[in-house]
Amino acid sequence: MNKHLSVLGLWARQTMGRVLALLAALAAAETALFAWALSRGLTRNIMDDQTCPAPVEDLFDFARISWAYRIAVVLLFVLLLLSGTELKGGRLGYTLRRLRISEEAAVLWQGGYNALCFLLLWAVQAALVLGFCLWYAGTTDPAYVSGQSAFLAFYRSGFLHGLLPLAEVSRWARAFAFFLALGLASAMFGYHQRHGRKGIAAFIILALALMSYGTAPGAAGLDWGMSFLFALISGWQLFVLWTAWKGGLADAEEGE
Amino acid sequence: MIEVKNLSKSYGKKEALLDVDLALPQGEIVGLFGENGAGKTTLLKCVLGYLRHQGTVTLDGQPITRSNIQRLSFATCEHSFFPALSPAGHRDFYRMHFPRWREKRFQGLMDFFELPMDRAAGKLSTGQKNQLEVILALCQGADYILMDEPFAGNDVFNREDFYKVLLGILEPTETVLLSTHLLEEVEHFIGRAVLLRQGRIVGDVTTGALEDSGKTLMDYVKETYRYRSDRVRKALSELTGEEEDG
Repeated sequence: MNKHLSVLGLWARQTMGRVLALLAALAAAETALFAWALSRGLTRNIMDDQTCPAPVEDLFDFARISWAYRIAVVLLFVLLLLSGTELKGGRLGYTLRRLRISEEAAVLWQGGYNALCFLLLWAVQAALVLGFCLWYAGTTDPAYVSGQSAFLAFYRSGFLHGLLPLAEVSRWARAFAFFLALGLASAMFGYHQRHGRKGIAAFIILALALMSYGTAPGAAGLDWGMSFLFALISGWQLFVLWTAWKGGLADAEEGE
Repeated sequence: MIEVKNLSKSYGKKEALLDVDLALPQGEIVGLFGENGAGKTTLLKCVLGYLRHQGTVTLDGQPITRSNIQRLSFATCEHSFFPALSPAGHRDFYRMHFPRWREKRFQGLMDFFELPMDRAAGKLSTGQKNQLEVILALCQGADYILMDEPFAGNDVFNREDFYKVLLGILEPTETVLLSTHLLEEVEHFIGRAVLLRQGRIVGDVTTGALEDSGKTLMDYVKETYRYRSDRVRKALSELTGEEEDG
């Protein structure tokens, strides 16, 4: 088991510093954006001549927090994608093919590690928006804020609901299928690149997820459909990996 | 012993290796020479199983698979280490995956070449990267150490140091197959020279046999390649003549 864990450790050592730096940058950027939105004193019209403080989801929209998260997902994707490739020089594939575990097993560990990184990003983002909700509640007139404000915001906003879907099981399934599929596909990209092939599955998954992110609550059909699609792509990747593993040591690399 | 039989490899229509036969008994230091594109790198990669090929490569009669690949190590000028990992990180990782890891040798070579233990490998200078690459290949406990132009980018003194250190530390059971252009530099370091040309082995001689015949390695290479020593002079006179005409 140690030899497997050492490979997991290898992937972590390759990128953990940069992943943590990205998370810190995300937290700093979003905090600044939210503070700026909060300072603007945004309001919403209740009646013709009356206004109230804007609900917290309006502040998230105004501060473009969902875009900061999307950008962080893309940056994390690129960071993890590159860590297993030989695009920046070096032929780490030569060593990966000589370890005590197969290269395919190493790719699986990398996929698992990448998925954990996406989960970590999600957890940090969820913690940040919950923190911002508390911040909002502490600085807004208590007449307009209740214990239910954040809860309601997470049902009204597609972005917030996508982060914490509460009781909507289909959205949870979609989120986790996305993390797993993107983790595996980003690891597979490096594997394909090392063997002189192209791996486009990761880009398809990322594009699908970003395009459909922030869907309004209650779209269970879409959620299950996306979950199925992500699972299907992951299944295909695993099949490719299994086939290669059965094929032995030689690879399909062509040309020098 | 590594035995290569009828090894052929082509990239599309281009034949990179054609019916190569080669035997590498344990304990030899073999130089693999040839012009650019002669097939040296391809041969090493085929031996390691990195490239699909025709023909057979065996290690003590067995095909090279995951079960015995660890008896071979590889040092390449392309570098096969992990750029984000420090030498110390490599040591910890390799110790786990290469059970015959040579700790004392690693420490000694790192000290000798004064490489920083905790800087990411990718941030080392080109010369230091080459040194680390070779050190890692030498410390994996492999019986056969394959090297592909490992000193490209290192200065002559550094290379000289390496040859001396190599000769001093290699055990009688360790075999080195060194692909390089630096004929004259490695002449006194190797025990046998294999010459490749256009994917074929055109020469295979021990340095002892060369000494007996009073030839240098360079003489042997030129003779084998039918090198025309007047080629440069002719070309220059033609060029000069053209200029004069012009």
